[in-house]
Amino acid sequence: MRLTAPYWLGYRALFTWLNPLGYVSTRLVQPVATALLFVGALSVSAGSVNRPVFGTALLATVSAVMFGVTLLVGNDDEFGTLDYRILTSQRLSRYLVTGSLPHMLDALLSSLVVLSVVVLIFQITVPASAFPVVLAALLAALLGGIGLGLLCGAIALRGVNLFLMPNIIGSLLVLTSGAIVAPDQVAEWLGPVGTLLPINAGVEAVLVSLEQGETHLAQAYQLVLAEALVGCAWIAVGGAALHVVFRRRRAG
Amino acid sequence: MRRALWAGFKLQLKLEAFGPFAILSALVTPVVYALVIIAARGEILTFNVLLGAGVIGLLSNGTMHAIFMVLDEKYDGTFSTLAATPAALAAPIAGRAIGAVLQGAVVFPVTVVVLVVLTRQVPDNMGVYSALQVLLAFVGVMSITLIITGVMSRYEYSAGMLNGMVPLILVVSGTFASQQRLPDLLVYLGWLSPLTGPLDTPEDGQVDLRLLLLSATLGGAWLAVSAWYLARLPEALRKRPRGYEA
Repeated sequence: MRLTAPYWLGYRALFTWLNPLGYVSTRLVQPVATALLFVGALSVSAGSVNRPVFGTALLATVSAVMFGVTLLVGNDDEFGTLDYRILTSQRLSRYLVTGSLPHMLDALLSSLVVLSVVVLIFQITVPASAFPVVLAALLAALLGGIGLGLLCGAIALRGVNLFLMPNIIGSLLVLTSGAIVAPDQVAEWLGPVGTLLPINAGVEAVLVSLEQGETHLAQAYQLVLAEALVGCAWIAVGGAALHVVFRRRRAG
Repeated sequence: MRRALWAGFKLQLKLEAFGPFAILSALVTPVVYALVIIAARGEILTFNVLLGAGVIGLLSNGTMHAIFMVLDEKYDGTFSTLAATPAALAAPIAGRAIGAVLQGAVVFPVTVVVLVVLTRQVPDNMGVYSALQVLLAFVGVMSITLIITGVMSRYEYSAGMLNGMVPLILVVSGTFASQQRLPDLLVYLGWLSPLTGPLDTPEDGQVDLRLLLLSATLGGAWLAVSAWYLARLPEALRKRPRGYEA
């Protein structure tokens, strides 16, 4: 409790959750309604809606963590506590890991709510064998969200509006991550871009487990691993960017 | 009152007309959504998709700027300063909200051109009443933005309170696909939305004029409600002064 209490307090104070309606609206209504918008729009065509159903859940995961971690860094700066934190002996990695944890739990809750609502409304059958793959893909997608959040936080510390980068990346994820539509279906050149972003491998893993059954579980888990590796790469990029910004700030 | 409204309107355009958020919410987001829908359905560019994308741009831009604008004005102490004067408290923020929606309306034709160029298609199912649909969508977005501005202005810690409203309104209004596929509760909610009439129309463009007229009445009623709601802001803040906080 002694370890987590300040982070819990920070989590509540640095975000808009002092108003419970803000939490419900942002973490639950927004991702559910976005999922219904896409799944509803694609359910009118003849094809399967598995991709948008699970893709929007992964999108909710990545978006929640990305916004959360961006605000973790950005609001710390805006409310004047970041400089004290930088000057203390606390390790940057501990600050980021402990600070990200509530957002990871939040994102998981949010994506499970999205998935449950969409599956119920559109009466989609999910085989039991796919559950572990779905959960593993959601967990792997958290890493990508953290990495993108760190990067956005670092950019925000350089004077860019806190909400700009997460919103730009959010649009990029909708278009190219494969959450709603395979990237090469939008434009051929977007295919390679999509593979560098979170969600792409995760959603493919879920699709393999759903459409090819238990015989292809190994392939599905390989894709989950790929999703986790992409996430780790983004954490490395975001962490390095933040480290540079922190070092400059400490020096100047 | 009119001068304060006009001043708010000019301020909004001066501050945000070409801001990155305006470009992102009014142009990039609707284009991305439309491209994704067209690609996933494997279909041509239809008027319904164009209008849906346009409304996403209008509503995202209007509400996003309304939220930021109210927060800025609260941080700057505009509300408490105006409350101590005989000036109309709601007029400058109403002016800024109207400016934000008009800014989105100016970008709407640009969105159309960008989508036509990117897809290399011209929507062929534009009906006789398409212009009326666009106008009603604009009126609907205006009323929703003004109501959101009014709600944001009344409550403290309100930054995230209305984040979920935009996608929810879009879903229940039948953006990109008829809301009839949704559960009954959401369908009933959709009947209250001023955007359902213009958005939830048959793919072939054969719109029922009676439904559009009904929608125009609903849109007008919502616009009147939004004006009334904003006009009552000083009284609401007097009763609940915590609303002055951001």
